[in-house]
Order: sequence, then C-alpha cells, then structure tokens
Amino acid sequence: VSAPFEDLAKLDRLIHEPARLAITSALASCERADFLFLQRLTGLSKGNLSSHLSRLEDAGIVEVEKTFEGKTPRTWLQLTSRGREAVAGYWKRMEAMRVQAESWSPDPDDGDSAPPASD
Amino acid sequence: MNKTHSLHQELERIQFVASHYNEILGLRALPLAVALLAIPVVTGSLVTGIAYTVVVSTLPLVLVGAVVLGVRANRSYRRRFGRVEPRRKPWTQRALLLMGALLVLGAALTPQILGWEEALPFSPSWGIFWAWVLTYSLLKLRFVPHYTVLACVGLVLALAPLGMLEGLSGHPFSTDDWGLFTMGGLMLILAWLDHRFLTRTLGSATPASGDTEFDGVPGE
Repeated sequence: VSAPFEDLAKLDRLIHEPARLAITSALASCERADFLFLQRLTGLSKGNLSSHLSRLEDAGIVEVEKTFEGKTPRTWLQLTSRGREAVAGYWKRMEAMRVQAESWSPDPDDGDSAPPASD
Repeated sequence: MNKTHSLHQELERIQFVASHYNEILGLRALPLAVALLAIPVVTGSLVTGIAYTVVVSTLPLVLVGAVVLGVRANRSYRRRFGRVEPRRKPWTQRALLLMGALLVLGAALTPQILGWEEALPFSPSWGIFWAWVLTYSLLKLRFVPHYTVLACVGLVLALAPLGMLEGLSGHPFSTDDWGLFTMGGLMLILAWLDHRFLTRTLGSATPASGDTEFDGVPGE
C-alpha cells in the first residue's frame, strides 16, 4: 500500500493549481458562466483569469464561446465533457487520498517512523 | 492545516454561489414579496375604512414600482456580477422534485380541507410549509443562514398557539391572508439579505470598462 503522499504526484496538476481549481469548481457547479461572473467569484484579475482559462482551453478542459447581446460582447465559459470527467476524477482521487491519509501509519519495520515529506 | 481548511471552505463557497446564483439574486424577488404583502390589504383583513380606500388606491403604483425595481435589479446584477446558466437536472430528479413539492402542498392543504385550521390554536398548514422551507434551507442553503433563521421565525409563528389569545377566534394564519402577509414580509427581508450576501461575496465595486472580457492571453 503506497503512502498517500505518493499519490500526490498522480494528481492532475493542471486542475490542482488553486486558481484553476477555483475556476473548474465554479464551472462544474453550473452549466456555463460568463467571464465577468468568474472574475467576480474568484477575485482574479482579468489578465490572470484569461491566462488560466487559456491553459484550460488548450488542454481541452474548458470551452469558450464569444457572443454578443446587442452591442455588448459576452464570453461564456463551460467545462467540456472531458473537462467534467477530469474534474470529477480529480475530486475522486483527492477523496481517496483523504481517506487513505486518515488511516495511514508508518510501517514500523521500515525503521522510518517519519512520513515522507510532501513537496 | 488551516490553509487547507480555508481553501476547502473557499471552494465550497465558490461551488455554492455558482450553483445557486440565480436563486439568490435578492432584489429580483421584490414584486412577488410586495404582491404577497398586498393580499391582506386588498381583502380588507389588514386595513378598513378610509385607510383602506387610500391604501388600495395607491397599491397599483406600489406594485408597478416593485416590478420596475425588480427588473432594474435583475439587469443591475447581470451588469455587475455576470450571468450563470444553472446545471440542467436530469428528468428523473426533476420529476422527484415535482412529486416532493406536490406532496408538501398536499400535506399543507390537508388540515385546511379537514377543517383543523379553524379548530386548532396553531396553524398546521403553515407549520408544514415553514418546516419544508427550514428543511430545504438546512440541506441546501447552509451558506446563507438567514434562510434558516427566517424559516424558524415562520415556523414559530405558525406553531405558536396564537389562537388562544383573547379576542382571536383562531390562529391568524388560519385565514391565509396573514399567512401570506407574513410570507411576503419575510421574503422582503430575505431579498435584502440575499442582496447583501451577493454584494459581499462578489464585491461591490464595478470593474473598469473593458475589464470583463476574455481575450485569450496565452500562457502564464
């Protein structure tokens, strides 16, 4: 049985980054949201949010749709089906790690009583 | 540990606001709240005589004002906080929700049909309604505790034996006018508290012009 910390390496790092975790958590909770809402909700600056969304779009996790309402441009963002699977998979793995971490104890035969350090 | 805990809480807050955004656009509920408050006025349960004439003649203006405010508030929320399309629930879940709502409605109407509302010093019908609101708020709306508090107020008012008070022939809610008036009053308070919650959660400052669009800045 591996220590829970070893599983950290298997986490989807694209989603694990806190700002992107916030973005994907928000998008996973709705069908789609516009750029302004995500900016308000996450508190990220326009440039920072754009940058994270670009990375998520490049990875096929987020889909961007630009529309116009009258003369006002509106950018809608939503998780792709692959994105929803990735986010669900991430949380499943996190939950498994949480359970494992709670029950984990160092093997006394190893002579190494301290748990391996996480990065 | 604390950092992890606060990140977890922050993510829960984000998920809550994203999934319930359209339900907590507070001032959008103004027209309905004012309409509920107006019912006992129109039926004459609240005011009589000359006051009735004055209040009823100004009521259309108040209602139109509430509708205008509600529409403007909705537009303002979209401009300030953006828009969200809620997740489409599968039809099985929607059917279950509809069945649940019909069951609650049936349970709430049963005491009225059986004539218990007049016979008892408390209001079982409104008690069932507020108990349902309380259950829903505890299960789904724990990030906005004012729902729980106001549902408790409604429940206490419905179950208090007010019908035993001298001068009253039964519980005030047994005529429904006062039940609806209470519901309208609490809804008005909810609208304001929801508005405050949204402004605090999503910020009160309007972003600078042109600061609201995704321009696809590559990389980090």
